[in-house]
Amino acid sequence: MIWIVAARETLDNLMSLKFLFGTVLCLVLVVISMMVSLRDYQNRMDEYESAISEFNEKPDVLEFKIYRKPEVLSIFACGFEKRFGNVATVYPTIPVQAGGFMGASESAQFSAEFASIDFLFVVRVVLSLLAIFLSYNAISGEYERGTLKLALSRPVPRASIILGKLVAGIICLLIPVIMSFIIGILIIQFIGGIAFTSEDWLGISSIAGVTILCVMSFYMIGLVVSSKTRQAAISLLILLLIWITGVFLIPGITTAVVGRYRLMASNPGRDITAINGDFYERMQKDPGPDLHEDQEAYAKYRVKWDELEDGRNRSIWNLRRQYLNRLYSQADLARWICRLSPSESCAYAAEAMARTDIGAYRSFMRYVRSYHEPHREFVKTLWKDREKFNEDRRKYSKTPDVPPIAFSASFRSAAPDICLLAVLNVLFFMLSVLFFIRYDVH
Amino acid sequence: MIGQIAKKEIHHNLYSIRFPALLVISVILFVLNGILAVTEPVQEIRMPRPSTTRLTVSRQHDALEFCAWGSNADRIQHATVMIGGSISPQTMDSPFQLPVRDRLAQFALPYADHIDWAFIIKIIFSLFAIIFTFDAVCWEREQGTLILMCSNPVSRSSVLLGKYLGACGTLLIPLMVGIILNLLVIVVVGGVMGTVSLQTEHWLRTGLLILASVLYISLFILLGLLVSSVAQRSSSSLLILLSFWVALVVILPNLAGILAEQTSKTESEYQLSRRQRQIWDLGGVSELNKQIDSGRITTQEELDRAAEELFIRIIKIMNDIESEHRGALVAKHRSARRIAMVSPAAIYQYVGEAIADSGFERQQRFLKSIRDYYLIYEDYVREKVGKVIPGCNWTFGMSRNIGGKEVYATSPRPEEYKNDMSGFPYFAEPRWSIMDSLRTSLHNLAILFLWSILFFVAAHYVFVKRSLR
Repeated sequence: MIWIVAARETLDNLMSLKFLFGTVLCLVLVVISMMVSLRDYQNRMDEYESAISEFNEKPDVLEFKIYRKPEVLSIFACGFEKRFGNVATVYPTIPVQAGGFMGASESAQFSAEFASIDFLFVVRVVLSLLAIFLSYNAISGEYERGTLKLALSRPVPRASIILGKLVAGIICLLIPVIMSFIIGILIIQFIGGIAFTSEDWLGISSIAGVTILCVMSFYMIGLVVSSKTRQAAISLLILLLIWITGVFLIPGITTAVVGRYRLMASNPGRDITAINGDFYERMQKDPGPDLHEDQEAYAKYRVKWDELEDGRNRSIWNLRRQYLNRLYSQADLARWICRLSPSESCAYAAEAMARTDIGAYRSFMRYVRSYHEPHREFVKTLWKDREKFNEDRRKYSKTPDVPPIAFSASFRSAAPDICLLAVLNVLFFMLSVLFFIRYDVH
Repeated sequence: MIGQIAKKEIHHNLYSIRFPALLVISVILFVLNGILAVTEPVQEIRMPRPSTTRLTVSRQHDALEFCAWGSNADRIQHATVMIGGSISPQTMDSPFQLPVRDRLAQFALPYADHIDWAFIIKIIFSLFAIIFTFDAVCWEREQGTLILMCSNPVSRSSVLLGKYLGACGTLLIPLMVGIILNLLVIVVVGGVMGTVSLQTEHWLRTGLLILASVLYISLFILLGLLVSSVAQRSSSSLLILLSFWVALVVILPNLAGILAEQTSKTESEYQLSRRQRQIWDLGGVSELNKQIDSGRITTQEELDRAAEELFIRIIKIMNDIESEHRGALVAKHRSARRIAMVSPAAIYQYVGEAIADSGFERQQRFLKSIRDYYLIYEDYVREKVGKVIPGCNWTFGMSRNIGGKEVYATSPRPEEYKNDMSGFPYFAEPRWSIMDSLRTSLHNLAILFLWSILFFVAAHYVFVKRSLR
């Protein structure tokens, strides 16, 4: 019986204008966004490669650069990929400053006015709306038309009717989602000529899974509201309010309110300037012996100097770290509040799986910082041989390949969001069953 | 008769669930906006210390930023002016180059629209304009009351006009309630805390913005009436309208960004810095080496003179390249904004920014006024110091052996004038008067008006032609 209900409901939806319109709009946007993101990715990749080869041709230990490879999956979920830096410079004399940009930081600043239409944007705005359109009249619409009474007059358990509607929803929503992914993959493989690794395939399929979970949760919300109301128009109105709250209001209000709380973390810029000023003042007071006159005295002086510099670096980094941790914890808070909205959870999970989220950036920065200490020691040893230093500084270093984040790690960081979405789905489904069983058909 | 129909519409709307829903959302958002506006810390503008090498100039505070916030990139408050002509807006909001202004430190927060007046009206009220009107005609047609109404001695135009006025009236109530509460919070709390103070000019601008908002909302009401007259059933009317709304308000304005990206290519920052480095390497160090090799430079003095001359020339080229790059970015952004104007939502946003004197164009005016100011500043420095040596981050550092003697090439550094600096020309940002704001937004308002007229004529045509059943 479930299958009869499901088949009828599926056909009903597939033949409707809203389904056709939503699917076409979704596919058109996916094609546009894929083409644009692909080209953008290729540009970033070209720059990454030319930057690396240029650095390796003429390396410099005093300005040692580490580059972060653009992620293929950023074509699907751009995340913070272009917002945060992708070059870090390790200076032996100061703490890691990272945050430089290859690619276009300034133009990214400029285009902040326009949201980037990546695949996630399509999911968030178009597919979620389509899900609502498909489910808003699932129960209340049938009640209005009187067909619900007819259906229930036959020996059908109510649970199987709603289960049938669920199956129909899954089938109808899978069509645009799967088609979008196929189109996306075809564009990337054939127009972009990019071959995916097995890790990438895992990532893409999990992004697809998350997308389906997200779209389904909107469908379920539609079922819940529809089985609680008597008029299709009212259920659509309520659903629109929920949609606009989830997609626009929750992120907007959260960012604004949490942004205020940020003010409690004060910028350490002034303290850092003071520490630096102090340091250079001491340096000026005690310029040390001349290198050319007394090599030994100079070496001793240099050791003392290095220790002072280490101390200064540590205290500056401590100040910075405190400030950064405040900012990160604030961002975490904002994200936790934003998880009230399934579309935001979906975005976080997809970004984590595409390795374009804050976590991926932080692990890159951790890698760079782990490089700092040994690099400084290495430069100190080169430093000992003054005469040859100018040659040596260009000989001994090649920029390392940053180890990629394994799929298991990225999946782990996406796990809370995936669980959340799954729980939401189950919860909403149970609610809709509960409401439907108590639905008065008269 | 129109009045009666409008009154009936308003009564009908007031008793539906949509009205309290909009009222609640509007009040929450407007009050939140007010609270955010008054808790925004005030940044006082400090006069920079007179200097002949570099100084920081600041932008004036906008009292009306709660109306149209603009994107964060357009909220740069300071710029560094270096002698030699390099003007750099202090944009860094990356986590390691710590931000100049705290508000830019949102680096890790999600990108989201700021809850300002423009957002509330652009998104929420336009949606509700549709929700209030999608069934205005077709529901009555479905119920059969339309034919009843038209059996009265009343022209169809006045029925349509009555419905329009009714919807306008119902939407204006939550709008005005929200705005009044918002301004109350800002005036009372902002006055007590001393964070926001509104002058007469600001009140006039606010009034103008409200008028523009009414025009924008009525555009969507008319669109709703049009589709409602065309559609057979109210549910299909709502679906069509929502598709229009998503396309016009959400998708098209954002699509403009990537369309402009495709049509006008600009150099990336990496390419720019590589080109600059090449110019520096070829035109700077190797040029000096060449001159030494050819025997044109034989003494330290000659080297110094050559280095200075070369340095000034290269830095000028560098600055030119950089400002050309910025100009290309700005041009690209402008073309994106022009493309976005197919959507009334974007037009309304620009009108809001022009009236509140904020956003992208304000930012560009600020930067332009700094460029104008720089000429005065350079004249002053030239008069005091005698010559202009550009300050920048590039330095020569090379040593060569000429005839057994070590010579060093170093970059010249701009000099700080130590004596009396009275008569220093401070930067003052020229502000737009209301008339300027109005003049630039006039054609945008006209476009909004034309859209409305178009929708009205179409709705009227359909409504008159179509059967009442």
